[in-house]
Amino acid sequence: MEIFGQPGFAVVQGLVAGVLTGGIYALIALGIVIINKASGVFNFAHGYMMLLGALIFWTFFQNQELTPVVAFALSGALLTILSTGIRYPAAWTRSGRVAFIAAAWATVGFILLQTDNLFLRALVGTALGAALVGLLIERLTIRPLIGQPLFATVMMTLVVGEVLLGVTQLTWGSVDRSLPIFATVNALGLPQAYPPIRIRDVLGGTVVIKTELLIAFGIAVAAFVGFVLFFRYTRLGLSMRATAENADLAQAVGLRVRAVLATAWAIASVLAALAATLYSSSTALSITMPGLALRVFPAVLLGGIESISGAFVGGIVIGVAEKLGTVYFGSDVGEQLIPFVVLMIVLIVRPSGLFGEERIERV
Amino acid sequence: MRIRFLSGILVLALALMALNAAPAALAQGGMMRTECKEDLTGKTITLHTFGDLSGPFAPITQPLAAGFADAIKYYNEKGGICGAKIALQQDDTAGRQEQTQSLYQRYRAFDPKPLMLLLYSSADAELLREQVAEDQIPVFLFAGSTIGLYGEKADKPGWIFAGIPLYTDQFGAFCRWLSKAWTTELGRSGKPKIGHLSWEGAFGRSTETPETTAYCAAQGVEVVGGEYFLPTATDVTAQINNLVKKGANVLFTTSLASGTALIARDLVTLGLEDEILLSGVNWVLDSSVGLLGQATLKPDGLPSTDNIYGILPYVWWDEQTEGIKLVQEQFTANQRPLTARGIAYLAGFGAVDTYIELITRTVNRVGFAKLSGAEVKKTFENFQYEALGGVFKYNFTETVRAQNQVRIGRLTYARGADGKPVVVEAGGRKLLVPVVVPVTKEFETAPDLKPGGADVVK
Repeated sequence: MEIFGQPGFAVVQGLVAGVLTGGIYALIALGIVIINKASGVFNFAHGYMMLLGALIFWTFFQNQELTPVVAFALSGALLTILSTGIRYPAAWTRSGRVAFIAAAWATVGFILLQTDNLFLRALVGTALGAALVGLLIERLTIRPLIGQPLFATVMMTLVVGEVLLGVTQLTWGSVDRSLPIFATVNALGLPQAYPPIRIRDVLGGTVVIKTELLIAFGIAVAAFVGFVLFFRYTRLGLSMRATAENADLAQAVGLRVRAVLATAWAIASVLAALAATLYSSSTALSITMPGLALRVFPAVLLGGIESISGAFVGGIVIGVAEKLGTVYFGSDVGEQLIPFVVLMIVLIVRPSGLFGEERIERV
Repeated sequence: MRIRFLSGILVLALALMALNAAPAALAQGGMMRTECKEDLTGKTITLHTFGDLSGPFAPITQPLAAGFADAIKYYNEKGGICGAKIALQQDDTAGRQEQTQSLYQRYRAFDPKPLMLLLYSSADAELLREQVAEDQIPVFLFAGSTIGLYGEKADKPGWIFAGIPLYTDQFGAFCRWLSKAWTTELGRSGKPKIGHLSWEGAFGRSTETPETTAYCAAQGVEVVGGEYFLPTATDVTAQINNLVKKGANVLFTTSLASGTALIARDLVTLGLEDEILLSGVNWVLDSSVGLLGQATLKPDGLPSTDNIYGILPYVWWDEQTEGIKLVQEQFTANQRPLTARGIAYLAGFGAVDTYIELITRTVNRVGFAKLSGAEVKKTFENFQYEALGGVFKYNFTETVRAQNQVRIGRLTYARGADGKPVVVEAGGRKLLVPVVVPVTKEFETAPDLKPGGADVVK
C-alpha cells in the first residue's frame, strides 16, 4: 500500500523515527528554554554543556575506580549546594538538617565508590557533576553580567561554549566513544544493545522501533510533564517565571533572584547531560555533538522560545519534518531544507512561535 | 682475448658508473633513506601543519597529531633530517573554514615561508589551492579531493599532493573489484547495485560523480543514487529505505567513524545486515569504526561493523613488515591507547618519514641555502618513494598528484586459534579487537576518474 506514492511502511517508519528523534530534540530544546525562561538569555553554550555532561557520564560509566577522596569531595560539593540552596521545612531543627545533609553526603559518596551498578553511579555522578558545571557557569560568567545589556550575556554564552570545548578536548581528547547504556551482556561478555521492536505487516512492510530511542522518548515525555508541573505548581518554578518576567520586580518582592538564576543553569546543565547521554546511546559520544544543539534551534523558535510545551511540540515537529521530508524528497531536501522551511512558515504566520507569548510593549 | 679483457673492463666500469648514479641510501631506523650530501647538524627544519583537531574530523585527526609527535621524537633521536632537528608547528582550525583561512594568512607570513604544509581536509585543500600556488608552498594532503589537487575542471595539477588516492578513484577501484567478486568471492546473486550513503559536505559527496557512475556502469555495477546525512544524525533508516527502494544491495560510504558505525547499526536495526553489503573509502577500514560498531551486535553475535569492505591503499597494522613493526614499537613505547591504533596514527608517522625524504632529496639537489617551497615542489614532481619501507607507496610526477595504488580490504575482528573472537579488556571494558584483512593481496593502480581522466568512459 502506498501513501502519496511512497510505500506505506516506509512512511510509517519515517514518522516513527521522526517522533522518536524529535523526543531527543525536544529534551535539548527544553534545556535552552529553561535558561531563557529564567534569564531571557539564548544559551549558545548548550551544545557544549551537552558534550561535557555526556563525557562525565561516560567517565562514571567506565569501570574506573574513584578514590574515596574524590568520591567524597564530589559529594561534598552536593553538601555545599544543600547547605545553601534549599529551604528546609520550618519544623526541622538545626541538628535535623545537619543529619540530613550528612546522610546525603554519605549516600552519594558510597554510590560513587561502588562498581556493581555502573549505571546508577553514572546517573548520580552526572547529575551532580552537570549541576556543578551549571552553577559554575552561572557564578563565574553570567552573574557578573547581571545589569549589563542582554547582548553581552549572549556573547558570553558563545565564549563559554568555546571554553567548555577546550576543557573537554584537554581532558578527554576527541575520540568517538560508544555508550551502550541500554544493553544487556552477551555470551562473550560484551554489551549488546536491546533488540529493536519489529512490527510486521504494517502497510506492506515491517516497521522497526529502535529501543534506545523509544526509551529516550519516554524519558523526554516524563521530563516534560515534570517540568510543566514544576513551573506551574512549585515555589521555585514560579520564582523562575517571575524572575524571567521582571528580575527587578521579583527582587523587590523578596525573591532570591541570584539563587533562582543559579538553579536554572544547574537544571539546564543536568538536562543537557541527560539529552546528550540518551543521544550518545543511540549513536556515539562524538565531538560533533554541539552541532546537534544548532539543529535544535529551529525547534526552540518553532515552539516559542519561552514555552515548555512549545519545546516539546517543536522538537517533535522538526524531527517528523526531517524524516518524512527524507522519505518523500530525499535527504538533501528532508534534512537540509524542510525543517527551516517549516520554521519560516510558522514564524511568518505566528512570529512568537506556536506556543510563545505575544508581547505588547507600550511606547 | 684482448677484446674479451677490454669488454670485461668496460662492463665493470659501466657497473661502477651505474652504482654511482643510483641514489645512495642509508638505513634510518631500519628504513632505507637517501643519503645526505650535506651535514645540517645544528639547524632546525620545521614541519608546518594545521587542520581540524577539535571539530567533526577530530576523532581521526587527533591520532594523526599523535603520530606526528611520536615520529618526530623518534626521527630526531635517529639524526633528524641530515642532522637537522625537526620541529613541529601545529594549529587547530576546529573544522572552520574561516579559521583555516586565518591560519593560512599567519603561516604564509612566516619568514622563511614554510617549505611544505601538511593538511588533512578536502575542504581546506579546495579553499587554499590557488593561494598555496601563488605563495609557492607545496602541500602534502591526507585527503582525496579532485578539486583541491587538480582544480575545478581537473586539468591543472597544482601544488597539492595527496597521500591517499582520490576518492573518485577509490570508488572506481571498488566497483572494478566488486564486479569480479560479486558472484564468486562474495557469493551474491543478481547484479551489484550501489547506493551512496555519506556525510553531508565536500568529503561525503566526493565519490558520487558522473565519471564514477559511468565507470561503474561500464564494469557492470549500477549506481542507483545517493543519500546524505549530517554527522549529528541519530537515525538513517529513512535514507537506507530510500536506497533499498531504488534497488541498492551495496551501500558505499564516505564518512568517518561514527557515520559508518551509524549506517552499520541501522542496517542491523532494519534486519538488512545480510542483504546489504556495507563498503566505503579508506577511512571506513579503521579501528575507530570497529570499536564503535561493537555497540550493536548482529544476530550472529558479531558487531554490526564486521565484514565492511573498503579501499586499503597502504599496509595495515596487522601485516608484518619492518615499517609496521617500527610504528608498533613507537606506539607502545609512547603508551598510546588502543583507540589511536588506526590509520591516522600510521599516516602521521608516514608523513614525517616522507617529509624527511623530501627535504633530504631537495637539499641534495640544490643545497640547504637554496631550500624553498618551489624546490620541494620540484622534488615532489619526481618522487617515487616507499614511506616506512613500503607502508605507503608514492609515485608523484609532473601530472600525477595523488597516490594511486590500492587494494581491497575487509574490516573484521581478531579470532583465536579456536575460531572464536578474541575479547580483551581495555579501560575497564571488554572489547573485540578490530583488524583489517587485505582481500586482494597485490596493490593495483586505481582507475583515473577525475574529469578528463585516462579511465573516464567517453
